[in-house]
Amino acid sequence: MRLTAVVSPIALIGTVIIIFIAALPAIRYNGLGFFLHSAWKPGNSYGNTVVTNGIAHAPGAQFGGIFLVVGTVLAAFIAILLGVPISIGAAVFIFKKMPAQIAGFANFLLEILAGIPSVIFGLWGALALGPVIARDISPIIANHIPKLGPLKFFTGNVGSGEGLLTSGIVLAIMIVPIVASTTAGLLKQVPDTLREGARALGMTEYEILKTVDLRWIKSGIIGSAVLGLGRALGETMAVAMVSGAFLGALPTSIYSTMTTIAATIATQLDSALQDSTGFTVSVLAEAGLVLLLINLIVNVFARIMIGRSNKLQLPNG
Amino acid sequence: MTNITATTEEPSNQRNSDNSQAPFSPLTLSLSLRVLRLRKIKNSLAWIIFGLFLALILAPLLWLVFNVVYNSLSDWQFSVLFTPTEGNGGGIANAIVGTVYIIIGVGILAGLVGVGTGIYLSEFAGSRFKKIVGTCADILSGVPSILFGFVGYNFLVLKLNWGFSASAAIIVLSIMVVPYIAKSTETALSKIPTSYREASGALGMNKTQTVFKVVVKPAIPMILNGLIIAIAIAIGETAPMLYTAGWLDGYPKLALTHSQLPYLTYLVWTDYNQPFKSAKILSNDAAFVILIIVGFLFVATKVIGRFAKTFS
Repeated sequence: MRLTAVVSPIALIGTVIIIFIAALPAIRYNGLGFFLHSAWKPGNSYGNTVVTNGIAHAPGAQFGGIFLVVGTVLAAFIAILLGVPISIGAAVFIFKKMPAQIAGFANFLLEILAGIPSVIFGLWGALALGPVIARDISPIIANHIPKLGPLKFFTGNVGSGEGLLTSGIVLAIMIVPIVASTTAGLLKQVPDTLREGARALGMTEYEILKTVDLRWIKSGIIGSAVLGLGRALGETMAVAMVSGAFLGALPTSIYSTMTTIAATIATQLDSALQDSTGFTVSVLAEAGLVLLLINLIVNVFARIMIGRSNKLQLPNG
Repeated sequence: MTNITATTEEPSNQRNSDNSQAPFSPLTLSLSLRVLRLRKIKNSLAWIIFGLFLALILAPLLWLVFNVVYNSLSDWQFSVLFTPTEGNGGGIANAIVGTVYIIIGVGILAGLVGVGTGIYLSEFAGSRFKKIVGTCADILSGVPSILFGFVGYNFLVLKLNWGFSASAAIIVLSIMVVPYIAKSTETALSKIPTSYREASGALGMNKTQTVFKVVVKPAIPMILNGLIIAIAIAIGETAPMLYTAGWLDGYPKLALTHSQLPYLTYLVWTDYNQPFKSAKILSNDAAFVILIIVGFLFVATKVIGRFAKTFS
């Protein structure tokens, strides 16, 4: 039984080591320049292998991964911006305003939302949500926002519905169960005496919520939001299906097609295997290593905020 | 409260009032009533917005489920359940069989490792060991699943030369869900009262007997629920399987290595934007069948939950 308990630590260490070893050639060839420009040119796979600094790669191979990092972070950021307030509000509404039985049913629906496979979110995002966003939502935003400074990012061609905005919205819905269920769980721990005291001072229910409940559980909510961020950063299939999987350039507006690290590994590994030198696979490993590091930092931070509570955490899809 | 004090301090207020010492002149009273009304309006507005937020969450869920069901049923034929995939058409029977392989494989492997870890951490481990393993499991559950897939491809498929295979896919999926099963087992066992353990010890049972005959037994429904949810997650995964399970048009063989494994989520992912109608139908039908299986597993956990003993 002790044997089974060491599986998780070994798997974690093994994952880090294997990705690092696979990424080594790319790290040595790309250097720091990998984080300074955007390029995705696997090179001519039929040409003679070129060896630079002892690393074999196809002629013309050139990679810059900043667009991957920016895409990953931007999509996750939109998800947090939209998803966290909505989750908190919904959880509070369920907890405070609903009769116990309906609240139980609403919680059950949230559990189901957490259990829906990411590939089905992607299918829905690509077939149903994306077109609606491109037709009904994006034009309203794009046509009513002045082309001033940073606001330019919200204007321009609204595209087909595949892109940054749709990815962010789908991710927002996917992180809702994480934040909402944590908030609901934490609300139960707020001592009733505090609420009664605030009530006796004549506060309205909203004021009690603001000054007592939310202040009491603040760090837990931040922790769950950061966990949601980790989920959004690592989400693969849904983003691969609604982002447009566009390689090699930064997104120019919130509607433009883009990709994330995780989605790129899923969509590009197949064609990367065509590179007989194995260099493209190594570049994917380097991108994966970046994702792993971002995720480790985010998760450790979230754990510190939440503390090692008994909260169950679903695996990261 | 501050508003009331502020108004009483106004000089005009004092002039109008007969008794400047009185805290509530008619004017201050009407002012504070207005403030109170504003606060009440703010309160109602906030709750309306929170209700809308809840609707904003539930609407996509209903839309999504309706969309999947509608897309699938509008071209539904029962023959897809009994026909294996042929190129861009055929059925999804082989993928269903492959998914059942995954349910069995992950159920056994992740079940043994995960429940074992949970029991060990809860009942036997020292606090330091528990902390280290617990932290590793927490971090592991945050690792994006595509990275497990990449590692599985690099190490199991290539390095160990297993090829695309059921065992590579099952091992990768198991590593992904073991932290969840371990944590849910640990949680289930932590709910068993200490008095059970003490009573068992007083009756002369040793530690192992106590754990397996007294502590684990009443926790079995909750442990089982954790395992079922883990399985539901595993069969909904795509990213870690793409480069470990591979794909096969026919039925999967009963072999551990060098035998590609068809599975349902692959069909959803590869066929949803194919130009062929027959392929799109497969994608929609596969999505529908996954939803049914996952929904069934969720309802099963609710039914099992009814049998779980609750301790006050």
